[in-house]
Amino acid sequence: MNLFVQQVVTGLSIGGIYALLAVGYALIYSIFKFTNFAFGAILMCAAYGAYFVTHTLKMTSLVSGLLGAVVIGVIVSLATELLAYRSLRRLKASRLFLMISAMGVNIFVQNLMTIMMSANLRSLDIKMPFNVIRFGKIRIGSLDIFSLVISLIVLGVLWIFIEKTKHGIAIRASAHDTDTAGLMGINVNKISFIVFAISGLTAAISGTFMGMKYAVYPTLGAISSKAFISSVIGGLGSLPGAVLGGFILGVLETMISGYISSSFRDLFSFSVMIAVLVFLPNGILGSGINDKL
Amino acid sequence: MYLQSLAIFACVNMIAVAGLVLLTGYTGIFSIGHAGFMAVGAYAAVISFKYLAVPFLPAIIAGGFVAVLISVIIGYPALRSMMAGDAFAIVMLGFVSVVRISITNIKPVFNASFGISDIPRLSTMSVVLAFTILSVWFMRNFLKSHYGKNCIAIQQQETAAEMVGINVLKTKLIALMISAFYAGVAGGLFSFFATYLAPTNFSEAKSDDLLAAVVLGGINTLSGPLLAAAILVVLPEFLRFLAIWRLVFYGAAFVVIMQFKPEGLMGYREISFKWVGRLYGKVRGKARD
Amino acid sequence: MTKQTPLLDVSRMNIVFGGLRAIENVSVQVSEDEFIGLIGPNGAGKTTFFNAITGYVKPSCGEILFDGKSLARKPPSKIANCGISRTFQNIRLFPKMTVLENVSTPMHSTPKYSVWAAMLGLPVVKRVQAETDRRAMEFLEILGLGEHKNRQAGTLPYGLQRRLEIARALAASPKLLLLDEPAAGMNNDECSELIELLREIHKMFSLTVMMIEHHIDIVLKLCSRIYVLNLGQLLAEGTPKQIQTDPKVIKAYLGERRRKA
Repeated sequence: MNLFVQQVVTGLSIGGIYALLAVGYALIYSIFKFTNFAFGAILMCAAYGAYFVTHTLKMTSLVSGLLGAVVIGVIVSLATELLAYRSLRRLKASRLFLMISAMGVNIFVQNLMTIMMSANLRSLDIKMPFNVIRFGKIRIGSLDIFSLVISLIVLGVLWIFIEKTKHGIAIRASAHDTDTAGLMGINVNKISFIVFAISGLTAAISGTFMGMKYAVYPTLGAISSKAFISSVIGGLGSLPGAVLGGFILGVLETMISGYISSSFRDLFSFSVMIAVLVFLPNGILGSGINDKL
Repeated sequence: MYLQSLAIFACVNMIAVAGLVLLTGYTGIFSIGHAGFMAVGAYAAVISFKYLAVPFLPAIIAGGFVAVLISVIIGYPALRSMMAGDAFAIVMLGFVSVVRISITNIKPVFNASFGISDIPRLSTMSVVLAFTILSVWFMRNFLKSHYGKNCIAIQQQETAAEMVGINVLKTKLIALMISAFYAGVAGGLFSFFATYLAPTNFSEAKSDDLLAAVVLGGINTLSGPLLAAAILVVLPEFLRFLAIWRLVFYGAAFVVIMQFKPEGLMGYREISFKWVGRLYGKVRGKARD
Repeated sequence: MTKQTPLLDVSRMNIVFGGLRAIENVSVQVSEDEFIGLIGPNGAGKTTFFNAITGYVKPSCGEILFDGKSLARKPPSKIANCGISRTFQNIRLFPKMTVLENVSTPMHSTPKYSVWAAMLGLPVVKRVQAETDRRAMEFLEILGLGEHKNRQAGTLPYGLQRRLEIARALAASPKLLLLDEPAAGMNNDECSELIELLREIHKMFSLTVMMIEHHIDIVLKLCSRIYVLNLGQLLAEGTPKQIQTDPKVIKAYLGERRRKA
């Protein structure tokens, strides 16, 4: 029982990271209707940003690490939008071309980092205020608690931003119908900047926690596939779906690692995605979005 | 011998690329995990040869069919979704690593991460060349037929294609199955030349190689990507420094090509096939020296 | 209204998009050989009505009978093969295919030979292909697009693109042709050309046509009967004369138009 509770908490903390990532991905998907495959590269660069701040600049607090990651994450995310996507969108290029361009960014950044930084694992030395919390016999690591709490806070702030502010409403309007939003005087380029910045921020926070949990290395971005899978499970393009999918995936994966075998964890999450697509082709909360006639 | 192996690699690459041309170049379905199908085909072929005593050629074909089976299992649910393009791309992205991880963890028969060695070298130049010519010829016929035209229609304007009566799901599924078969056969041929088979043979980088040939070669063309496939195998051998930077270059090229010439270098055009024939002749001539 | 069984019989159809009723209790009957107009202000649900008939959106309740058979569970491609063709408000050609290929696509949407025959390049493939091209060419000639047959569809001028879309819809040999704003963006000359063309097509192929159009004079000239939609509901139905004098219609639609003109 104790083990089970501990697994659930660990699962939720991983789920929080996945949910955050998935929201960052789904936000872009909901507006621009394409999968930003460069997401992994952004996450990885941000984790290196955290590594740079904590290792090279010797500022080892969690805040400075996160700040370093967020700065790099947002910069890389915006650069991708400007260099790889904006002109394609202006030409109304097909989704295939956008996806190829995104994949190009991912391949480029990942392999460039492999050459420049070598494939070594680098650990993120971030000082935590405490190590473990004990509730009776249950021990929960501080990293798990911090990642869960911070993910929840960021998700909450994002939710308020999207539901309550003027920019948030503009974002929702653009997600509903980008062309009409443009006609109604919403500056779609400005919206895209905000959205890509938010996406970079979520990637950076998740990337930092992932780097702390494991290590920082050039293929760390592969974790972004969890965001994609969460999003498919929850329903592509749906923000609540992304959060739900992230938590479901996080908990399930931890259970599988804990009770069966960690080596089949990825196979399992892949199978869950296929199963969801079989029974709910549009995900749990997804609606079939048609292209407008 | 060195040139011969280069030629065989080029041919194997061309078979897999021919399959990807149908899926991505013609039908417009983005597949970043095609190396997964190569791995499935390779393992199926080698295992049926070594453990089930299936002769070489049927084993290769069997490998292709196993790849088709897997492609339907993972592809059909994704292609049914409203967001088919993205759901499928995400499935394929996960597929490569799932195949690798699964094989790495299966000790009996698959021999986990050590891989299978001592595979007889049965993929000789003539066998591989025959396979390449046949598969390219079949693909060319298919693409020129009404089936190929339907694929282009789906890629260009999916809604309209459906509204003029094309069964979009079925057409995409046919494209996926044929494409997976080609990848499976290519994987099998590769293993019977390399003589060993390990999960890392068909990594994400291999998928990037295949995709690069299609993107550089162009969409709605078969000869462009085939030429690119051959060049991309041969070029890094002559320019050694390119070998490390190859993937960096591909990534940059994807972005630049999408910005300035999204249809690729040979998009919507075909090289006259006599020219390719002469290229075959040259490669073959060199191989004999 | 004629007494024979209608070709298209839509009864009490409702379409709901996330709580919003786009179509409410709309019933429409179209008999063979009729030329029906479907008019109404923007956002009245005209295109949604077409989308429902062609299977692109599913009605939440109500029934659609075509030729006596229900279209409820059929996907768009099946419905197209049943004999309903349409054009689109925003042109949806296959832009990089040639004009000829665009028109031949509906004819080979279900190829008449197997995948194996296609791969082996059997003689039947060439034969069927030649036959398809010949028939497609006929349609192009009728619509006056013959000289452009090898041009990329996307490079045609706007008016010809609209015309090509009609040609493509006809090439599916439909019983019912749905035209979604065929005259959108056309000037007066082009409009009168279009009227002639549509009149001719209607006669030549003994088609049943249903047309959404904002140019009211085109509708009045061509249509034998008109349905008026407003805010998802059927406002009126009748001959052009009846519609022109219907006070509800004048208030909701024609009045607004006249003021603009």
